[in-house]
Amino acid sequence: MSDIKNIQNNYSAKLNNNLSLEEINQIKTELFGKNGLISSQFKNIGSIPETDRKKFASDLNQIKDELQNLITSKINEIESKKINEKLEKEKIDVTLPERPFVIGKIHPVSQTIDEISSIFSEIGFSVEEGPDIENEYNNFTALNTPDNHPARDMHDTFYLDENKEILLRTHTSPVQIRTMLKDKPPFKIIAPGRTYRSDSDQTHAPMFHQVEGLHIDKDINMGHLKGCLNYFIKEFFEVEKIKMRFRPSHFPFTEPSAEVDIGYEIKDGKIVIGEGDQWLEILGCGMVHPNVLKNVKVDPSKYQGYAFGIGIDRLAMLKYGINDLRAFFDCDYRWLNHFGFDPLDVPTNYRGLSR
Amino acid sequence: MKITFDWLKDHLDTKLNEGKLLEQLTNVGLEVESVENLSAGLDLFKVAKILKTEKHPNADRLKVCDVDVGENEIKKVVCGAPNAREGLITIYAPPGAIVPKSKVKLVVAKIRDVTSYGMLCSESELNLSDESDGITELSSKKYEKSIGKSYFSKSNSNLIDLSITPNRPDCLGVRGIARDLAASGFGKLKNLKEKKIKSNVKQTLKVKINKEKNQACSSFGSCLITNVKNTESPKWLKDKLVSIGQKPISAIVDITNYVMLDINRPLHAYDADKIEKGIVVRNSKSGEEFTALDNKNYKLDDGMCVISDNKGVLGLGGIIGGTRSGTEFDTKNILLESAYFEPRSIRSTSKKLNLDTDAKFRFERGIDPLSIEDGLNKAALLIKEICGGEIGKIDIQTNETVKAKTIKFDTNLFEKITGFKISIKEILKILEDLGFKIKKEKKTFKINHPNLETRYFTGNRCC
Repeated sequence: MSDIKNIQNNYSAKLNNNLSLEEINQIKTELFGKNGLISSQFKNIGSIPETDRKKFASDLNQIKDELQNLITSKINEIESKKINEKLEKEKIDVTLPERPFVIGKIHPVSQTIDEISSIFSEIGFSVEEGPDIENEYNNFTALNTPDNHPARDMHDTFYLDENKEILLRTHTSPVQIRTMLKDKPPFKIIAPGRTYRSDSDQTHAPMFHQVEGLHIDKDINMGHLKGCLNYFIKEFFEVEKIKMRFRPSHFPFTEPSAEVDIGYEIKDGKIVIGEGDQWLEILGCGMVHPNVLKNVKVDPSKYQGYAFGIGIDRLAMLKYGINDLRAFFDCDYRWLNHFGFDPLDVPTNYRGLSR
Repeated sequence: MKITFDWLKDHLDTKLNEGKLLEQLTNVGLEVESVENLSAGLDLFKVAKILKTEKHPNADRLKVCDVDVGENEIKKVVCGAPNAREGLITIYAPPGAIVPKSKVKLVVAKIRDVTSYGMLCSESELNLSDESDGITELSSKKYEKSIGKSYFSKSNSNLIDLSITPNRPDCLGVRGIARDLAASGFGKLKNLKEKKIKSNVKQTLKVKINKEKNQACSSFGSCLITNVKNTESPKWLKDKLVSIGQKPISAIVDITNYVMLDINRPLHAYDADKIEKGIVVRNSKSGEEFTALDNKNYKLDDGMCVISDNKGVLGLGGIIGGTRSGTEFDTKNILLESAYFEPRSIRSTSKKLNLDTDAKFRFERGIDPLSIEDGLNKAALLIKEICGGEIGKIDIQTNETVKAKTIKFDTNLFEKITGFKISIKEILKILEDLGFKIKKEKKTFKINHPNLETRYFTGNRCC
């Protein structure tokens, strides 16, 4: 009993001296470390006669608490003293310049995708997505382009395996297949995304962006297609009138198929969309081929509709006056800074698409 | 597909101009890729006569020539050709002219201190042939009186390059394009009264299509023409080929090319004397080899459709012929081939061998199987006209008879899909103009085409 009392007296006295933080920590170890004075007393509890054991344990705990409290209060005292000293000495130099900070820019392609999604969602399309890595069936065969079809030559495909079964999708049309297999008609979707073809020059990049559109219902005809595209083009270019022509063409997955040109002219070195007598091809479309509907278990005698595919990069170039496609993918910060968009500038139909 | 308005007019009666033509081609789905004036600037190239040649004072191989370029004008031209000599009539290009082959614009230049006004041209430089060893030699009989005149005849027809989508193999010939234009209201398709071969001479060269699994050739027509004299093509034919950017080779080759481009019927001409004991159309065996007309040696896999004789492979059916049986200027007897090959087989063979030819491009899209005879008639008669000889009876071997497909056409479908109405009368007129034969049934029409490739409609929804 007197042992622990002695320890308490000794150390209380020691702690009341003007000690440094290190010294207090030293004492803490001496008392409460693994073999510290107090810690070792706890090991002795078992050897004390049963009659005294209860009192000893209670005293020991009390002394332990008192010593610990004392140590904590001493440490706090020293620390708050230190902080006060620091506050006394330190001053903030409010004249220093701020740290540099940079707001990122939204890439024109991302902005354009947002604009397109916004326009189509207004007229009832929902957005679907599909993977960039596709199988040959979804990319070609299901879209009425069987193996050995000469139309496959129109797509320089990146194949990912020897058997040519896995590939990077050459268009966004496989999303049509995925969507129609997953759900039941009617369908009214758009699917923007990355597409890949083994082709590279000023107007072709090996990776580019398309947006697919698909509208299947009981009585959707080419008139609806024309109306939908006309609305989209006017909204997108933010013009009142648009000159547009449908030219017969061929895609294996639509019949009849058309390519759509819009009228433009060059005025003072700038391209003006919607007027003039020059034509610019901007998209391909058509009525979904009955074979495609059969492949996704949709009855072509009950359902019909249109599909279209638009090159997003081409639209972005036209709208924002960018003349080299390759610049999109150069990752040049200065370019992005010039052509990019403020992240807060989210395109919506009611607030206006672009500033 | 390259065409000219002049060539189209062989098949099309129209008063409309070229601007309207370009518009209409695009409207009917035959997209105009480019329009090029091949003869622009060619009028500058003049027939000229070398009056005098002197050795160049500062160069061993060059000569300084005095050239009579007409209208009493004499130009000094430095020339390196070994055949530049006094009295030679040749072709002179003045400063400012653009050399067709190199596209270089000529200027007055000092060549080793002697000023040269223009250039004397080789045939190769003018894209007339591969002859580049010396300057062009023109016959003095024919050209003596034309000195100072343009060498090239003036053509106002531009070269129109069309991008034909894979569903329109029928438009890989000028006539098919004319038919489409006529049906769209752009003039009238000419009714050509093609002559037919009248011959009782039975073909002595035996042709056999092997009956085997995956035989890609269902029909093989041929015609033997004996005692021909292969020559250079006549001017009209050369002009035709040159007008669409092709190089004339010899009358026989030019005629087969012409027929292919004109009515979309690929043909092949063999030197009949180089065929050993008849022709067998069969599948190749792995390891077989042959040298094709592109002078490359090809090693074949199993199951490629080959035309062969007793000695081995002569050519790949519908893709490319071989050098062993190719026609030359001294060829006396020719066998004309006009056959049908399965598009699938053509495509997989050419993919494996990495081969692309005009014939392959057409066969893989589908050639009208019923055009075999038309092609033989047209080509054989042209050969007789140009090269002489005697035409034998047409021989056609077939494994299966091809019938024109009949489809049911519901006129209501048109409005249901397009969303607008045109009268049945109008629909029928367009179909008839496109060459369809129509039979009215209760609510639908049965339509078929007597001589269009069958895929023309099977690939499509209605027509």
